[in-house]
Amino acid sequence: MTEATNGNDVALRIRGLNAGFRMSDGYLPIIEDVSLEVRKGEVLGIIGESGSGKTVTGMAILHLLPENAETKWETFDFLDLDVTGMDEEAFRDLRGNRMAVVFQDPTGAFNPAKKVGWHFHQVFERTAVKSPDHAQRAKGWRDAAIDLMRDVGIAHGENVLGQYPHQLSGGMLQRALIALVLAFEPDLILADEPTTNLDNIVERQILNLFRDLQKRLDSAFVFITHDMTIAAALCDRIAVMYAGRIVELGKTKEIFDDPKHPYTQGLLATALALEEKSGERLQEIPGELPHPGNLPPGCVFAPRCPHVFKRCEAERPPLFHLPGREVRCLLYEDDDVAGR
Amino acid sequence: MSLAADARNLGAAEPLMRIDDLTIRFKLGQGLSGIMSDQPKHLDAVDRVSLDIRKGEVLGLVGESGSGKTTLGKAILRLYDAHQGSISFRGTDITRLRGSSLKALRRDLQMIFQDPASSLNPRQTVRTVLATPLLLHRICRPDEVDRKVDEILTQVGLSPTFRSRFPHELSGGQLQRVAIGRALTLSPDLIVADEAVSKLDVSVRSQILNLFRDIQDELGTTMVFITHDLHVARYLCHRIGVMYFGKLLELGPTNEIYENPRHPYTEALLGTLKPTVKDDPDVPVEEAGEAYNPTGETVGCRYYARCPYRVDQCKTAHPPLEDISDEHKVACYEWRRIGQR
Repeated sequence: MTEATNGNDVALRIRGLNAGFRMSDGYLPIIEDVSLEVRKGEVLGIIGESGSGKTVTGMAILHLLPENAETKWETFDFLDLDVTGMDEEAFRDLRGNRMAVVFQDPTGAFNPAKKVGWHFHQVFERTAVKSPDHAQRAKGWRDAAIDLMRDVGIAHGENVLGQYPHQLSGGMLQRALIALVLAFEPDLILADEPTTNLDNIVERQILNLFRDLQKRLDSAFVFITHDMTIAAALCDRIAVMYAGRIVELGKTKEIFDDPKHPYTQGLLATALALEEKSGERLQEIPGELPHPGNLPPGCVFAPRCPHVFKRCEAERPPLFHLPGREVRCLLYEDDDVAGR
Repeated sequence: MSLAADARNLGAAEPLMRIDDLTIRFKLGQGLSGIMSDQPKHLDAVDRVSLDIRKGEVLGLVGESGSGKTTLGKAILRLYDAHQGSISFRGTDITRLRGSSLKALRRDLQMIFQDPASSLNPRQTVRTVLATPLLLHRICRPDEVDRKVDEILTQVGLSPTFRSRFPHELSGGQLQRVAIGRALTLSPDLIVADEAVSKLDVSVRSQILNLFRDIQDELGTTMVFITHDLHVARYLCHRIGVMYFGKLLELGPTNEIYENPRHPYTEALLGTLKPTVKDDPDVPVEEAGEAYNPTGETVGCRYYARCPYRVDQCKTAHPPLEDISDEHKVACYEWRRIGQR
């Protein structure tokens, strides 16, 4: 599994993604110029607050945005395929067989009128065409499902198969969903706030499960969250989003040790301040997120930024490439090593 | 001023509210199957809880979903009727108050909800939201209302221009400021805040937490702060009560609970706080046993199934809340073995 890093390693490559929605009063741009790469076996975290565009980015990748959405790409490569201009039907096949998504609310992922076993049966049937092994597995799907559930910490899988989704707790249901994803063996797993609705102890268990899962599978993993501590625990690299843009991207540890963008700095300081024991006043980021229809003319973070200077209010900063880091902030203009 | 010193000073004072052996019971199975069965089922969302709320303190109620913390918070405000036990407020029993005396009580007890978008009327301007209680309770003369509304807005960090805005024109943080303002209009003796910062984004959450702290410092309002977030509880509360399936498992000064937890559940909850970084060795987290079934006939400790310290005695009855020091109470037979870190 430890291959040398080369170009073929990249499972997902996106360049220049723009997306927005057609509204009754015109077009509302949501995300602008999002570029990212995920290698096989790697976890990329997308973190941001609500309204930062992290979920829209994820759903755009899966082509799961609503009807009134418009998306544009410069490049969209998935494994060895160029999917930039692929038609919906072909893409649906791809999504059904090689991409999986885990949502925040597991109840929405299950059909409430069907037992858990039915869902496993569907997945095994669908993957049966992949290989003779898969076809064999589909025949004995009950046992295979029970094995997978044991892997995710469900001791009595045989009982769970006969239960309806509403009979399981949130944590159990999320586990069952993860077992379904395992059955599916996707090349790309996208998880959107999968632990946000869970209690602290269960959250920690599911997080450990994801860590374990990621070690075993060779899939590319995109993990969307608003929680810095969760991102720190799980992700190899992190993309920080603000108002529809990636403002910083780099290795998790390096970002936590030395955040460059003023927003990342503020976000980390506020998140960590609560964990410190001292009863000091919490550090704040003043102000609020801008509305996507009413963005400031220059840098989107300028109105809240402690380091703001004149040019920030007039220019949209591009992404500057520092060694091992990308930052969208004029403070780092001189450190740019390679323009694209 | 340290929180611990605060808690000690408050210890001497007469409690503002005394909750004694309170049970809140919900009937279950009102549907067809319930009617057909002989034994009507019920659920005690709050199960024989005794607790003092002291004047001027922030008391945190922490627990996971289903622990009964919200039910207890609402019961304090008389939004649920007690099945058993009593609540007294400033020395008067309020458990069965009705009619006009209950209405008068409402003025002294206020609540802030988790989701301000649904607790504010979408068709009312901020001015109407804040002015209605002032006029209803005749706090000030009609010609003084605008001045008072501006005063409240300033207090919660909004400019007076917000008076004419509607809820949909405000962001989550601004809405929560208005909701806090509304709770403050009547200068209540006690505010119950139920997950008041849980829905807010990280950067806005700090602003609102600081606002709560400012209000507390300035007005000394007694607060019950209900949260599932242990970091938030530690930041804001003088004392903390830990709840689990309707029972109060541990109660004590914040520092004491965090530094020296004596209930296995508190210990497990605090275990989830330790920050981990990828590639650290996995922190062992107890495997979820089958949780307690609150509608079943089980006796014994609520935490029995998941407890790593359980002994046979735990099966006989749920342990009573025991004083282990002046300020620190715990409901566990085996507390001496726990938390000696």
